Amino acid sequence: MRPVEQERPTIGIRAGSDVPADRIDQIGFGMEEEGVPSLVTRGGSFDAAALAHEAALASRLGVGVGVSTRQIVVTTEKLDPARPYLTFDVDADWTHARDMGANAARLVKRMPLIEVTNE
Amino acid sequence: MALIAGVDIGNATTEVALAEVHDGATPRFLSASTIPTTGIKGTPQNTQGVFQALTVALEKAGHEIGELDLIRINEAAPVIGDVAMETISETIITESTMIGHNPATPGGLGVAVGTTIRIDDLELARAGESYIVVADRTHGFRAVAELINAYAGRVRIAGAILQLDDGVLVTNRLERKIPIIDEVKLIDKVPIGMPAAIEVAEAGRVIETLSNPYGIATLFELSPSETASVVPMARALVGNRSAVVIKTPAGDVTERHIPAGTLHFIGERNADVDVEAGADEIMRVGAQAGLLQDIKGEPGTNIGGMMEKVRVTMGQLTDRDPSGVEITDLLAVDTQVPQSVTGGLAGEFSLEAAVGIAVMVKADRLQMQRIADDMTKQFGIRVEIGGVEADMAIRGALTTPGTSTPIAILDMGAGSTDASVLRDGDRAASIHLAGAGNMVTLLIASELGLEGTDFAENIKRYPLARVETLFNIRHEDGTAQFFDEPLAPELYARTVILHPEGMIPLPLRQPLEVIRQVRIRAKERVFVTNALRALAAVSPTRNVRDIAHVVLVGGSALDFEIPQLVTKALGEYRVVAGRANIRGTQGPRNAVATGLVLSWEGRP
Repeated sequence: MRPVEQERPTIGIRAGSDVPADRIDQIGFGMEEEGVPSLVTRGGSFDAAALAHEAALASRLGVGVGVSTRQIVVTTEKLDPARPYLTFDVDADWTHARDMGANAARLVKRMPLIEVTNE
Repeated sequence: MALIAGVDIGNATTEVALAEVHDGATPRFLSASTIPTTGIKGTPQNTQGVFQALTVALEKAGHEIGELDLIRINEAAPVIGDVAMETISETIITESTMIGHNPATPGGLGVAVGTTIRIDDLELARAGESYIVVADRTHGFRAVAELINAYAGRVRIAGAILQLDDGVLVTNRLERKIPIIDEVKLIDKVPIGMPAAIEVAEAGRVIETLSNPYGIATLFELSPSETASVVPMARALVGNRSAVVIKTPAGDVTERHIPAGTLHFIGERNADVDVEAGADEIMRVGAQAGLLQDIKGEPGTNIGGMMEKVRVTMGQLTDRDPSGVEITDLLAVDTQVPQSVTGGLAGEFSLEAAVGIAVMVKADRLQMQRIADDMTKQFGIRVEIGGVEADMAIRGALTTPGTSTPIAILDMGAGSTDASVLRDGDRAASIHLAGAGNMVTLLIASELGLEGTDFAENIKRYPLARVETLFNIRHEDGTAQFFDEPLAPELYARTVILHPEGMIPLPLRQPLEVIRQVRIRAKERVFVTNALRALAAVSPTRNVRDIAHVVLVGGSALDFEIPQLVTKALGEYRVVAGRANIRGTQGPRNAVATGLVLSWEGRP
């Protein structure tokens, strides 16, 4: 017996309630261009690392992105919640949001990551 | 008792063996050291490296430089090697006519044909005609998708070319899917109003129409002669997942053959060979010339320029008139070099034929006596020249457990591959050939299209692995290795060099196995070829089979696979070959320095 309706595997994006929707969209576009679906949820925390960890645990792909107004964090279910894999301090600069989304997708696809650095 | 040091100044490293000699007893070795040679071998700049190497060895043994009684340096073989690479074909696009690159995520699927049009000019498009839309970075994916959807009812939009990495995002928002090529950096150079064709293959597949001359001919209704002219372009597009071909009126891609020129071998018999004939023919003709006095390149050609460059460099280094520099050996190797296609719009590369050449220059008798005098003055210690390098190397090699005369040694260094043979009661016979470690580095760098030699040098020296997950790598031999800590993001999913100080990620798209094969083939083409050439030259019968035992020494004998490759190749000639272990402790290093100490016949 095959399950009739399988839930589509997605990367979890979990954002604080104060993060504007258009910023979260940017992260999703990065994943869409890489061809990996995503699912956006809102969390109570304002700590991007904690949000990312929650998102990774909920994701069937085991990869999560946490978004606060200050940081975008990418991590996997296997990593220590306090030590996520990729952290980008956005502050006022959201230009790399799409690249962070793309990198989360590339973690799933096992492809080399885009270099995203705070200048 | 006397404290004496044997010092071997080589092309790449300076080695010291330190020993104390008691009257009537065999020398007792205390320590050894290896330091990069300062300056070109055989020049006064070497003194500095010698001093460093001595200091290190003395320190290890708990002695000071003042306690040294004697320094013995080798009478270095007066040969210096150099390497160069010359491409002999080139692909030039005279008008911008193609984009052949592999964006990671193109959009849509299939082949599209139409006239190129700027996305802002769509309102000028004529109904009934087919178009390829061109959008630069000022147009986001939403705007591009909206415009294409809006005009799709009135004009036929067959495909799109984008500057941004938006191919999939645009495709997902289109009512009717079209093939889209993205990440075209030089989009301003795409000719507008010209017939163009786009092809995007499925993931995991390569394009089939634009990489086929008749496919291009079908799309653009080309005549047979026009079809012939697109062959080099189709060839440059082979293996891509996506491509664009744009037909401009004077558009043309040509494969230009650079006149490579002729090499003149001047020896016992003079012989000429056209470089285009390839490495095998060059080596065959070179061997016919017998013992070489000089090798010249035809003036005004690539090879002429290349040989001239070598003469000038060597002239400067050895402080001589370039015209007097004689090239006494040459190793040619065929290779394929990725060259950027002149006129390409996305940094396309095309594999061009090239020939790598290593040469050996005969220096004047190196100024070893002057260096010895200099050192005596600077260090205040007696320095003497200890004897011919090949004899000293054999003396040292014979300290390898399990060896005896007759013996042949193969000294694989950085600049040259040398061989010597010693039979009972004879003087050693030796030969110096062009091509060694530096040539391997050059071949690796050029075949992988790496700039500089740092990456290539590391690829040569250390094995590769692929980072598979955050916690594991897979080695070349297929074994997996796991780590407790996650591997750094810059290493993720990349091919890495397993450098002892940490993994180095490679900026290459080629799969690990391709890089590995380039490395192994480079080593084989230099060291296996030279091992056979050198041993044949020193064999009493000129036949490699008549040498029974070969001991491998020199820096390149330390390599993790060169000794195996050479041992395997020599095995086919029933020659027993293996890596030396000087004094049972030093591995393939320190043979000459050890020989210099052992050959001292003085009394303490």
